[in-house]
Amino acid sequence: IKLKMSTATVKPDPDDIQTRLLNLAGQLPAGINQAALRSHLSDLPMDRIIQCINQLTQSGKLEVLQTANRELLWRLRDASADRRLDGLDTKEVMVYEQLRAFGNKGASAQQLQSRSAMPQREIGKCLNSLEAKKLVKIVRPVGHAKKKIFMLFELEPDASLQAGTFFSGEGFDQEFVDVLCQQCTLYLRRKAEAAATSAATTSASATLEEVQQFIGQSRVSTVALSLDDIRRVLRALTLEGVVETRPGPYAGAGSSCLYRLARSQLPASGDFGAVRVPCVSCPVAPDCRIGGEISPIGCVYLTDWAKGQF
Amino acid sequence: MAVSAVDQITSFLRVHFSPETAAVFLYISKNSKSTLQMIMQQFRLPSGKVSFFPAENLAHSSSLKILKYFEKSIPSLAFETMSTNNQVLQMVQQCLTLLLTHDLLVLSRRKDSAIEYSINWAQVRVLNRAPAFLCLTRTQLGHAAELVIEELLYSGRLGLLACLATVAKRLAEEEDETSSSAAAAPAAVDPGLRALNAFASLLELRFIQRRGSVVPPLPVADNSGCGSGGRLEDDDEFEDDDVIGSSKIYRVEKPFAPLSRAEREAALRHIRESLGPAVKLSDESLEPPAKRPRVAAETTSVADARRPEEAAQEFSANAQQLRFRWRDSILTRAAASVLGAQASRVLAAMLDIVDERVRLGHAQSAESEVLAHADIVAQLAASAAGDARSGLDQHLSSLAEDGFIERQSGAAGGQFRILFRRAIFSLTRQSVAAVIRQRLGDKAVRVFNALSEEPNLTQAELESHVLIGGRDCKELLYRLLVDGFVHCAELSRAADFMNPRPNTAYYLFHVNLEQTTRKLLLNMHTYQDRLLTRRLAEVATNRRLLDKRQRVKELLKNLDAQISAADSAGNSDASAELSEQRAQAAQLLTPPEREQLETLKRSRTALRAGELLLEENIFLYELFLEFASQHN
Repeated sequence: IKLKMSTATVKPDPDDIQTRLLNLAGQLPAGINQAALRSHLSDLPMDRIIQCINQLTQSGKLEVLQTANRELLWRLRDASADRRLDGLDTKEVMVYEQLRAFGNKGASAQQLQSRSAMPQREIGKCLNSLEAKKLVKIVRPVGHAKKKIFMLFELEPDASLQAGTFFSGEGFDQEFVDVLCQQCTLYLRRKAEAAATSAATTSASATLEEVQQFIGQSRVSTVALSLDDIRRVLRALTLEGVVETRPGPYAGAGSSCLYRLARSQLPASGDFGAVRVPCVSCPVAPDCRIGGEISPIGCVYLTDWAKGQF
Repeated sequence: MAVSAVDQITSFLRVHFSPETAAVFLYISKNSKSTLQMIMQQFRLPSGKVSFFPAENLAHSSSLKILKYFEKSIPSLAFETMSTNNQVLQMVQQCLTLLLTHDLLVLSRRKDSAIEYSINWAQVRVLNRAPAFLCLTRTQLGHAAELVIEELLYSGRLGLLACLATVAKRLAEEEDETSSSAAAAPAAVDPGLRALNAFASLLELRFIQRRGSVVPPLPVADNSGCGSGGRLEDDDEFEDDDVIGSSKIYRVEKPFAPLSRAEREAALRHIRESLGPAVKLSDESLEPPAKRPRVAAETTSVADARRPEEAAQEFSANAQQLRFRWRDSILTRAAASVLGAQASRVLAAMLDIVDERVRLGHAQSAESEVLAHADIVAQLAASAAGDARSGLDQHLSSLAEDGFIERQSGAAGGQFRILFRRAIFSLTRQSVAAVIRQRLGDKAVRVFNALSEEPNLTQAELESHVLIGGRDCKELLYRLLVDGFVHCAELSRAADFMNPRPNTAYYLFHVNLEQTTRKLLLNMHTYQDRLLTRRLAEVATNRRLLDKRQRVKELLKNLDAQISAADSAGNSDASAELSEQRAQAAQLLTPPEREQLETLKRSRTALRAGELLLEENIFLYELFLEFASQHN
């Protein structure tokens, strides 16, 4: 009797494959890519490996990632990792990990598609599923009411997305900012006048906290303004040349400099005279020609300016 | 160089000297590195006969060559007929000597030893800036000093005696006018002493300097061999050395040597002789005529028709010192407006110390040398600003905070350095911001300053910095871009598909202050040209009225002299008749004409003030560009 040896390949035990995969993941903490699978598990058929990987992913022992080169990586999942991702399929986990990478700036569906190369419909389904499970939320950025930005549910949107103190329902509130600027200027002007009359017992400078307190007391704003908001307003006034800053060694804890009215704003200060000549700000200066229709010889601006000088 | 600058110098030369000098200047300004041969060619007829023609004979073909150099004043010119080459050569040599006297020419020698003449554009700029320099001198040193600088600027070089005589005469005339119009005659002031003291102060402060004289050429023998009325042969018969060989320019070893006692005495004596006994001079000015002082000649003298002690020693305005003083004036005024008068006096004292240590020819430096605290205290004590010593340390700290000076060390009160470059840069930026504020408003200044401090921002980033809404910010940004205050760089679309916005081109905005300043400088020159044109047009329009006023003024002056003569002779009838004539003459100018003259005076004063304001800005921008080019 001749015994025929079975030529069929002995099917490896799935538990063995999973164990080997977990061991390999432990050896490669950065993640296992396909090249690592081929090199370390070359004796196993690839379809069995993939099947075991999916089982481990679903059981939450492995997590799947995608690199910048769109290469898949499988990484040993930390025991303290988010258990909320249990029960998500691979694609949903991938989308979730992509959104985690975008952080609090979020990403649109188009950005996710360009990153992951998944079809738009698949991404849409994943996002809907994640949103239903309260893992992801939608944020509408300021000024783009129809645009949807997706981000992780627990994150706070970045300042560039959210409205902020200086924004109203219709966008940037220029009037509110102008009122704040006027109030800050008024406060600093009063400080300067008080310092001028009280013979150096009162300082003409103010700290950030003092300005904030004044704005709060003046009730020009229905919402409380933070130190950062006041700093931004004073910064804008500094750029305009209305306010100037000085280092403040005795300033409050929240700020490191003092603010005062710019000396050029004070009365009896000279200016640099050429701006008084009407040609500098003349609206038709580019068209003015000697002998032309608009000419300095018959210019009414020069005539009025000469009369106004005396 | 703006066209108007050349026109101004040309008209100045034409009015004050001769049309031929103006023609030579104009020719050299358009043809740099001209030789004597080339200049002679312009005055030669195709037929070879050298002659100028009467003004009415403008149809002559060769007149076209000269026509283009005389432009507006052609109908008023009358030329002599010159028939010899020698006369033409002598005329051109005299013109070149006059231009050399004014430092308007730069000489260079070609490889074939021919001398080339080019215009010294820096000196043209100095002459164009003369009104600003006169204003500066009057502000710092008084009216007498202003008159001295005016004489020296417009005459090029003058001897001590000639200059002081002219200035003393002008001061005396002004005092006469003041005393005649005032209700009570003021006490006689010694104009000669005032002029002399002003001159000595200017020399001590290096506003003026001693120069060697440019001697006019001696008559040259006719070397053409043609005789009178002869023809010109070839160009080679004229030797360029004839000009330079006989016009010798001497260097002075000590250009700022103070006036010696002998010079002072000689000057006062000369003033007394020239003004006559009508003007009372102080006893100090009286000297025994027997004692003639010996003036030490520092240079080689050349015998000529003038007095020997004047021949080798003339004076001219020191343009470099005037520029430095103007720069200092700008810095002290800026410090006064920001920090107050006391801090400004401290800065002025520091600038005086620097000025004493700077030598002739020192280039514009970005920082001064180190000044000790003790030196500053001593300088304040010596000047009239002694009260600024109290709180000196506080003023120095304020000046350091605002970027005018820098503290080098804290030992022994501290050592300081004036930061010219930084201060000029800051003032330039403020000036540009002031122009933007005037044209586009306060919010545009915010955008400009934000981009100056943080370059290469996108529009979105800029909006969050300056707290201006998107639409307004965009409009301001584009207007600043069109006017050249802000510049833009494009980052082209990204080819990287991993970029979250792959199809977006980014535009980064920044400020290039140097480029902006150049554009503004050009604009300022244009505005100044317009103001000058308007002023000259108003004078031309009212020429008849101005001439009438001048005639009435002279008539009244003559009648006043006759009345005072009749009064002193005791002829009351004649005096009454003359007084009646004077009253009638005073009515020649009607009230509407007087009002028109008053309006014209106000307008001219305002326009002249506007030109000076623009000139100051132009000077500031030129300083900035000079420092910026040194840095590059």
